[in-house]
Amino acid sequence: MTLLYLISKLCGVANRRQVTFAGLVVLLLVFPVLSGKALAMDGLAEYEVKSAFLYNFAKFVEWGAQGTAGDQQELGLCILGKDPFGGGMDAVKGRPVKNRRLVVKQINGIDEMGQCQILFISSSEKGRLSEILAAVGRSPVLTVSDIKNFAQTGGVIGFVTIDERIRFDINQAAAERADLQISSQLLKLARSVVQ
Amino acid sequence: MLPLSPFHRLFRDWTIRQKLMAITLLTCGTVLFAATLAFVVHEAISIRREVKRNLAIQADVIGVNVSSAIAFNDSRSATETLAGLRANPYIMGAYIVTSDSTIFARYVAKGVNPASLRIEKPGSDPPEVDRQAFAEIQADADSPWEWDNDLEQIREIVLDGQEIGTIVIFSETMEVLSRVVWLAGALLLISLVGFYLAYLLSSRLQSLISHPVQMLANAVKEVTAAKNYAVRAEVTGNDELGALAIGFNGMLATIQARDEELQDINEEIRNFAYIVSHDLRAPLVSIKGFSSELDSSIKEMQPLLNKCAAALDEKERKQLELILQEDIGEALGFIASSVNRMDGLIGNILNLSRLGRKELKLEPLNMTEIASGILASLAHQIEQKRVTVTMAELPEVIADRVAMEQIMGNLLDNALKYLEPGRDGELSITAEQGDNAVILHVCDNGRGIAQDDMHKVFELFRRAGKQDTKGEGMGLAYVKTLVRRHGGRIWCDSQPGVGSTFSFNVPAPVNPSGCR
Repeated sequence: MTLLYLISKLCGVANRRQVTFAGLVVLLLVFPVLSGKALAMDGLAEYEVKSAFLYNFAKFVEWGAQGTAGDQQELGLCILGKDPFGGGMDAVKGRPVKNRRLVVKQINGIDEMGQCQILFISSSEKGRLSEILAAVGRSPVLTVSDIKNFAQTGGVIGFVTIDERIRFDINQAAAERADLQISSQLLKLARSVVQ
Repeated sequence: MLPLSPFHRLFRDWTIRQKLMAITLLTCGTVLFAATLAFVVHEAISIRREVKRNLAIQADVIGVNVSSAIAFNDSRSATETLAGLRANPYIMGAYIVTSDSTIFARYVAKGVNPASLRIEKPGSDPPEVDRQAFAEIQADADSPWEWDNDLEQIREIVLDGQEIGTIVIFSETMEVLSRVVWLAGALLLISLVGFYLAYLLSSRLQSLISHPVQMLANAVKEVTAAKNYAVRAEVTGNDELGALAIGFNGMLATIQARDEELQDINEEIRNFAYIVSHDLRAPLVSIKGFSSELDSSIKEMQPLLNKCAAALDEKERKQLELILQEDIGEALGFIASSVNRMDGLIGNILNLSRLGRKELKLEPLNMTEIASGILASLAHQIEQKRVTVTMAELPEVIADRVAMEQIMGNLLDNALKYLEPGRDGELSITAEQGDNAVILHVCDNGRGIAQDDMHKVFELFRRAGKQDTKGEGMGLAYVKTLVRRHGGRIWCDSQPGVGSTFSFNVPAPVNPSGCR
């Protein structure tokens, strides 16, 4: 059978052309279905995805020497303001990342930011955003928020929802200020990169 | 002897040269073919391995590039990354499968039916992996031998030490195959060149063996065809063939020496017969002369003895008379007849040796003419004995005219001489064409020759059967010598009381037109 197949291949039997159209049709039908999985997100599911994103961001970001100086066993993910995740963080809590353990903390003020490598700023803090960002300043912290135009305002990563899909913008300048190196893999996925 | 295999029978009649070439080329060809085949198989396996390794590298590179897309659930980005595989025309498709067996992204090359890749569970939405097919693909990918319509490579996608998915790549076997075909083609070309070189070499080198053998064969042919024992085979080297040539030459030298010796002895014997018969005549003449001298002496002595007889008594006179009249006369008569007989015998021997020495004048002869001439001279006898003669048209032969006349004359004369008395004679002369010779038959219905006497008839001074006719037993001896001088043979078939057939062959013109 193999031989027959090879011979037919060698002879260039043009069965392929016939299947090309069918293949394309199948592809067109299947493609929206593939991406559709990410579309149907709402409410709690949205924050489940966001929590997973937060966890995965850690894998594609390199902190400078200062940023990882603290506890070597833990990687702190701090939530500033009202916790929108509900129980969503439980899935990632304690999971390993970069040979550390992800620790999720709820903080109420910027002064509690000591052991945080990732700072999620809840949309409840929308009004105080410039104040918070100023306070973070050049600290080696990856700031993430779903406040509108977060990255454009000076945050490092800002969630955006496009076509019901969760995506993100990255502010490269802000990342550099915080002495963070963001993997090209992550940059490639960003909706837009602010220089 | 062992029965020949069909293989041997095929080559049996080839020349040594052809055999040697065949042996060399067959051996070379087999070795080249085996080596080429082995090399191609080896290369096919290693090319396959290399292609699979390249697939693994490509899969790993893609894996690294899509890990973020998987982490952030961005299948569009992953699909774009996979689409980069388009650059490799041999890749039929690639799938990224997440740990929950859903198909996260896929690339299917233009013209490939996704179903042929087996991995998708038919009808699943969102597309899922057919676990059973996946296990089979996994087995195929792990196998170092599996060689069906595609080559599969499965690699895990790892992010930060965690397995987040699997990438499956399908590649056409064509890539391997086309490279193998190219390689095989190149090797075939090299093999052909090698084979040609082998042919050139062997066609040169085979003469090492075939040349001496050919030389030897030529020498043997020359010896057997031309009976030329002076030829010598060329000794080409100090090997077995050289030894064979030396041995052959030694044998030829011995034969040549013996041949010359025999010729010398033969010559000597002929000369001896001639000289002996010639020289024996001289004393015979003396004996003849002196015996007649003795006779006349006795006759002269007669009157004297008659006078003396008067002095003798009656009894003594009678005794003397008896001696003189009977004993001496009788003795002299015996001497004379013996001398005459011996003279005849010696004359015959002389004739025979002359026949053996006489130069033959070979010319084309019309045998019909010769036979007719002889029959004409025997016409009286033929008429007297009431013989019916039948003669076919006889062919032309190349022979000595006198010798042929003697042969035919003797045979016809014999046939008439030994007819059965009281029966009408029948005589026929026929001929048949043999290989390079004409066979003539002289057939009679005479008294025939007994089987026991058959060997005698051709012998010198020997006669067979009833001695009722005059003869010296010389005729057939002459005939035999003459036929033999012509390189022919004479023989006789006979049945006592029925008749005899004497047959002999003489060389004939091979082709009357003169073309060989």
